[in-house]
Order: sequence, then structure tokens, then C-alpha cells
Amino acid sequence: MRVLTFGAVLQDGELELQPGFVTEGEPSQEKGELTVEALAGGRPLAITTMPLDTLCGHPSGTTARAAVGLVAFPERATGLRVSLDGKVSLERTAPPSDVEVNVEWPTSLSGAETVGWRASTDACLASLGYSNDGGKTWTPIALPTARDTIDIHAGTLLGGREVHLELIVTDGFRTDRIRSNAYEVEPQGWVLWILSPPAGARLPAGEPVQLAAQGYHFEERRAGFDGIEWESSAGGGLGTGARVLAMLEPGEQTITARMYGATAEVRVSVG
Amino acid sequence: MSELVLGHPALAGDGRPEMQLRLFGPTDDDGLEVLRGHSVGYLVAGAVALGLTGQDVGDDLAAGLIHAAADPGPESLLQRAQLLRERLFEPPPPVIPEWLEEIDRFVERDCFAGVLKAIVEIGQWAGSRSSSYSTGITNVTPSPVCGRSQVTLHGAGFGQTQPAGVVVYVPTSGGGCREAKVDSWSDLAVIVQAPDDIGSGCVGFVKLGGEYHEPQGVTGELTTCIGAAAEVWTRGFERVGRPIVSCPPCLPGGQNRIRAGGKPVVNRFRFSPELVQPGGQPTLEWNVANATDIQITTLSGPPLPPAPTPIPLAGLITLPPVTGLAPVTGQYRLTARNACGVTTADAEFSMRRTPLLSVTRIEVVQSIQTPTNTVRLVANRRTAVRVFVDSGISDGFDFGTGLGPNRVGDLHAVLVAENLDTGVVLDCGLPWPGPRQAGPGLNRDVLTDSINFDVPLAACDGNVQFRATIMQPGPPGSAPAAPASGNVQVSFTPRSSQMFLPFLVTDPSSASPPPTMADFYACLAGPAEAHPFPENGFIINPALPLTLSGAEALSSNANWYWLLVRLQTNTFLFASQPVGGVRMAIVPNDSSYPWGELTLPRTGAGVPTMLVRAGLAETCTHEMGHAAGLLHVNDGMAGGPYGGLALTISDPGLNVTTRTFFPSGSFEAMSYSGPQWPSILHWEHMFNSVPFA
Repeated sequence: MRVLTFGAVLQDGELELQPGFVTEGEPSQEKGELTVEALAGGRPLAITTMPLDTLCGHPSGTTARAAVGLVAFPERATGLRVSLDGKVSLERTAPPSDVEVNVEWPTSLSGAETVGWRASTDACLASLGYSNDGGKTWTPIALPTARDTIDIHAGTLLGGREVHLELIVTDGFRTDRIRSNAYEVEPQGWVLWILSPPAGARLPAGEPVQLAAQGYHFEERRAGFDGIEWESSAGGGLGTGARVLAMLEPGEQTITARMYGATAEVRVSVG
Repeated sequence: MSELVLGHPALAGDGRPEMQLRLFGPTDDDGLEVLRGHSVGYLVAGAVALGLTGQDVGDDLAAGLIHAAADPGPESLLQRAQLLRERLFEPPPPVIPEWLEEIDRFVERDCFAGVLKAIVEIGQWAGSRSSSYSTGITNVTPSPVCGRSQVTLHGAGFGQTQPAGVVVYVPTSGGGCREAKVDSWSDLAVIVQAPDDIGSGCVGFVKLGGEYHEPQGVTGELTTCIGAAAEVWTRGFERVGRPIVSCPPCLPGGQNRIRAGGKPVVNRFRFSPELVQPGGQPTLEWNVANATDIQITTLSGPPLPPAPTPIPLAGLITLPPVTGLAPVTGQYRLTARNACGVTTADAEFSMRRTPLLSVTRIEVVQSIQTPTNTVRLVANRRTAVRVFVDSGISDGFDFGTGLGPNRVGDLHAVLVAENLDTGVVLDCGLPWPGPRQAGPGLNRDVLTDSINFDVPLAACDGNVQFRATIMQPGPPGSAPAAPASGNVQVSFTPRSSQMFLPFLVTDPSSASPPPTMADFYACLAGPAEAHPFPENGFIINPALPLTLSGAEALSSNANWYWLLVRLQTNTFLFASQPVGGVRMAIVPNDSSYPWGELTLPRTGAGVPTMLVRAGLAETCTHEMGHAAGLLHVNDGMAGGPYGGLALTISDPGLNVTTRTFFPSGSFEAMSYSGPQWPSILHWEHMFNSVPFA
């Protein structure tokens, strides 16, 4: 079903709306104090209700109320009216013309890259997706932003022979999806993350230290916990496993974890 | 060695593979007890042979023997705990015949070095030879003889000088004989110095053979190594303090006999029983020889009733009932005199209440639990067991340990976990530090009112029976009271891993460093400890690094809201996403930020999403509750909507990892008040929800 993403924040009695993206999905079925009408010529085509919840913030204090979800948005809809407890809070109408987008794709994906974009109308938002299987599945790699450049950290992307980027641009009512040509990205295989201790940690001497790591095979999209071997530059082998309690020798040292040929290191100080 | 043991009658027959040589623990099987003693004998014999060849062994194989010989029963484990201390967590002992090979290895190269040394000494000691004679003695003076005085052996044919290898032995009060220092030697008289413990008996000459070595070290070494069976087997060595000699023979006419000599001998001076209950009446019994006068004095404790005057050399006195609600110890001294000197001996009794221990309840806790263990447990998750023990004392008796009336502490406790599906039995190791106490009316809301154990992760799977055995160790030498035991059966249910998609948010407007995966992981510590996630129960997808623009700086209150909204909106944009999980964005640890954490409690169709400041792990449990769909508890501070959780927890909560305790009545984790911990409903909701998103 054709829907519009909906994100609103009510603060100090004023409801603000994030421009929505047109996509496919099921609209909210929840009851709530917000009523969102998709309009055409000022007349409602579809109505969606959803709750407006108080955000949980720590430390305790007064937070805003917010609603996030999908609202029904038929093809002919050109506007949006939002009511709170039956009272109209805001009404938006689509710009008269379609969005035209120019995109500057990076020539390759092999490090820190940038996607540049420019829309024909102001107040547009863009997000970026990534596919390494020719477009069958997509991973969002950027948050919706008004900035005209989106940075990509290619070192965190899955490898593949048919890699595509997809830029999604919206003016709040019309959404354009622009797909890049295919790239080839070297497979990452297994990577290993040391989760504990943190790099640069100063650890007390004479107390066991929790070593924790997780492996991840990028292309197979699976985690690995078995056979992670630990060693210290100061004291040799520290044990095997995803979570190991180890006694470290005093002094500066490098903790190394290895699994399936992947290696990760952190430098720590003990004592 | 194997052939010797296998040839023993106790091991003959078809049942052998099911049997286990139990060097430790009580047994009603006389044959087994005999076999136990024989096994120690084999051990010593083998060690003698090896000790003489100079081979050495290490502690590991010695410990291996102990494991091989130990019974996996609780009592034996207690004894093993005392022997091995920190080496408890080793594999259970194998069954016959594997352990026989272990004993072979032990004998060949693996007993404690100290045992070998002692055994070598035994071998050398056993190799010495001597002979004794009394030829030529016609009279001995003076009579009686006192210690440290001169004794003259009259006669003829002794030789003008002391022959090489010939010494003089005099009788001792203990019934044996001892070498006496020779002051002068002539053909007609030999004058020696009487030792302190000289007694009645015959004096004469001993011709020594070989070199003398003291062997008594073997008893202590083997007792340490093996336990009580070894002590029994080697008890005779304790009496050996000299070379093997035969004491000088008594001449038919009594010419070489010392008729009375030395200080008084106290044959017996002790209480029976030495331990009495309140109101009990211990009896002091004494028996003295070779004394002209004796006295009995009170060193401490209740005075003795009047004794006859003069006090006879043998007698007994029964004390009046010893009463009170505190322990009483009585110490008394017997002093016996004669012309040669004074001998003293001490006797002691104790009055105290003997506890009648009973295990009243066992609770298996992963986060929170009811008295009847109705809260479900997750397989392969850190687990603690609380064992509550009643002392059986209710009259207000106070041991003076500081625990209060009716309570006893420093109990020995063993917990084993038997997997009822596989039969594997695992030892839960030493209890947590604490008083390890028993008492009536124990309080679940006091962590130290129970004896607490960690459970090995390997034991937390399937249907498991936990068996606790509790003993109160008595004073050295006393028979321990009967152990108390109890058990409980629980089930551990597998739970799936929870997936996460981390976002590492860089905020150029902040001076704090960008967050790392370690920051992300640190945040998960709270939910890992409080919620029903298994060990390694988090699958972390590759983090997505994000860099905010200046306009999106998180120093602004509103930008936190919009970042959260954008993160959640993003989950709708691509229909087919290969990786998912709870979206958790870690932002720099900047104390100037308006928020530490932010989440939308009711996420509707969206994926649970939260913002967390690096370094703030403690409130992640609360936010994870939201991620799983839990709403706030109305404590007057947390905003609505509210869910169905109570304001406080109904039962005590326990962070098994940090051993932090939350008494019942602590605040629910979905409140804003502290200290807080998940309630049973909270735990069960999470149990049913994992994995979510």
C-alpha cells in the first residue's frame, strides 16, 4: 500500500512535522490522539490515526511528545492535515511541481566517499541505501538529511560484484528514488570487533579483566563467537572465547583478538 | 600396580565397571574400607620403590589421583574441597578402569615430592639393623632413678672403653627404651645420664647397625595427599622417633631392672564427653602412675566439685549440669609430683548447642525469583543459587559469633548440579563470601541470610536438579554433625539471541571523542545482567557511522528528538533490509548534552530505537524495556502512558554478575526512581519478547 512516513514532535504546544517519504507499507492501525488526513484538493482521501507518546528521557525531565509511523497516502494525495484531539494543528500542501534531482555518484567505493545531490525545490530531505546483491535487498546507510552531501564509509560496506547506491529524495509529498550504476566492492569476509576493554583503557592491576569480542562475516551476514583467541603483547596467550576473564600483566600492552584470519587490537594500560 | 588392585576381592566380579574406588567419604562397605586401606598401602609401597630410585613427581598428577579416587558425592566433595581448595573446578573423576591408570601414573611419577622424600627416608630407616644384650650387668643404682641423674650399671666384662657401635639403652615411661648418654665406661661400671622420660624397665646395651633416618614425615605428607585412610595406614610411623632397635632383654634375676624411675606418668586426664549440650554433665577422669601427690586445678570455666583429699591416683568427677545460652569452655590442669619431678596434663570440655541443620529452601536466580522458583530461567545464562538453612536452634542460644541468637555461621556447603537429561553432574564450587549461616526465620531480603553459589554455565541447560549439602565443622578431632541436604529441580529454557544495529554518531560540535563499539557494548551490560538474555546473547550487526551537521548538533534539545525520529523513519524506507535489530545510536559522552538517553516507549510499527550517550550503561535496562514494548511505571516522575507493572518489585532481585542485591520493595526498572530492578512481570515480558525488532 502506498504510504507516507510520518514523524512529528509536539513541543511547547507546537506540532512540528518531518517531511515524509513515499514508500510501500501498512499504515498505522493504532488508535490515538493524532489524526492524519491525506488530502486532494482540500478533501480527505484517507485517514490514519496514531498515538502521540511522551519520549522517555534520562535524566528525568520534561520531554516532548512524538509520533513516528506510516500514514495512508493515495496516489492522488497532494496534501496533509494533522489534527490533535480533533483540532487541526497543521496542514501542508505539496509544491506545485515535481522534484527534480541531480546526483553526483562517487566513481568508486573504496574508502571515504561522498554522494552529492541537489533538488529542484527547497526543504527536501534525502536518504541513501546500499545493495550488494543487485538491488534485491537494501541497507540504509544514512539518515534523512537536508545536507547536499552524504558521506559514505566504504570500509563498513558489504562487498559484491553488483553493488548499487540508491538516493531517496522527498519534498514531503513526492519521493524520487535514483539508483547508481553498479560498483564492484571487495568482499570484507570476517571482521572482528573488540567490545571490551575499550581502546586506551586504564585498567587496575591484579583484577581480572573482561575481554569480549564478536566476529562478523559481512557478506554472509552472520555473527561468530567461537574460536576467538586472545593474547597480550605483555603476557602471551589470554584464552579463547567470545568472553574471557583474564589477568593482565602490569604495564602498557596491546591486546589482540584473532578469528578466522581476522584480527583486532586495542592498546591498554594496566596498573 | 593395576594387577594388584584388580586382584583385590572387592573388585572381583562382574560389577567392577560400575564401582569406583572411594578413598574419601563415608562407607558402610567393610570390603571397600579394607580396599581403601590397601590402596594406600599399595601407594606407599610403590612410592617406596620409586622414592629409592630418585624419581620426582608434580602436584598435577597428585591432584589427578585425588580426583581419580574421589567419590562425586557431596560429602566427598567437601573433603576434596578441603584438600584441593582452589582446584575444585576440575573434571569429575573417571570410573574404573580409567582411574587405575591414574594410580599407576601416580605411583610411577606423580605423588607429592614431600611424600617421596618421606618414603625415601622410610626405605633407608627400614634398612637399618641392630641387636641388644644385657650381658655382664649385676646391679643398677640408684633406685629410684630420676631424669637427668646418673645411673650406674655395675658388673664385669664391659671392656675398658666403650666399644664402637655400642650404646646404652634405658627404659622410658612410655614403655619403650631410649639411648642414654654415656658419662664414663670401665670394665666394671658404666655410668650414663638418665633421660627426662626414664621409667621402669631393663637397662642394657644396643649394638647399632646402618644409618639412622627419621621416617615420621610420611604420615603427615600422605594424610595431606590422600586423607584419613592414609593417616590410619601410616599411623604407626608417628611413634617412630629412633632407629629400629629391640630394647635390652631383662636378665632372669632382675639384675638390670630399674624398679621405679622418672617423673610421674599421667595415663589419662580427660573429659567424657568432651562436648555437651546445655544442661549436660561432663565427667573428668584421671589415672596417674608413679606419683606421690596430685592436684587438679581449674584454669577456666566452672569450678570442679570437691574431690577427696588426698586426691587418689585414679578417679573421676562429674560436673553439675552446665547451663546457659552461650558457649562454655572448661579447662583444667592435673599436676602430679614425686621425688623426680612434676608432670602436668590438661583437659578441656565444651558446652554448646549442636545445630540440627536442615535445608529449608533453594532458590535459583537469574535476575529475580519467587520462593518456589516459578520465574522461568534462560539456558546458558549466568545463574546463582541461594540455599537457606535452618539451624534447628530456637532457644536463643548465641554462639557469640556476631550473627545473633539461634544462628550458626562458617558452615561448609557444597552444591552440585545434575543435568537430569544427560546425567552430567557438575560441582558449583565455593560459595560466595559471607557468613554462610543457618538460622530460623531467614530473610529472603538479606543476601547473606542464604548461602549463595554461582552455577557453572555448562550446568544451566535443560532439566537440572540442584543438590545442596551443608555441614557444620566441629572442633578438630570431633565427629562432625550429620550433614543437612536439600534439592530443587528447575528447567532452563533456550532463548534466541537479540540482534542490534548500532549507529555510532559523531557530533562535530562536541569536544568529546566519537563513540566506539566498546561504548556500544558497555551500554549492553545493563540489559545483559538484568534481562533474560543468554550468555553471548547479543548479535551485533556492523555499526553504521553517522556524522551530524552543525545544525543537527546534539547540544540542542530538539535535535535529540529529531535524530530519534529520523532513525526510526529510516527503517521504513527500504522494504527489504537484510539486517535489523534494535536500533541503538551511541552519541559522544558529552556531559553538556541535555539528555543521556532518549527513546520512544511505544514504537507502533517502527523498529525499537534509542539514543544513548556513551558511558551511561545503567539506564540501558530501562530503555531496553521500552524497546521490548514496556511502558513506564507511574512513580510521579516518569511520563505516561503507563503499563501494568507495579511500582516496586515483589521479590528480591539479584544481579548475578556484580552480586548486587535488590530487596523486595525496590523500585521497578521502568520507573525513574532508584534503586531499581526488573520485576517478575518485567522479566516475563522480556522472556516472551526476546528476540524483538
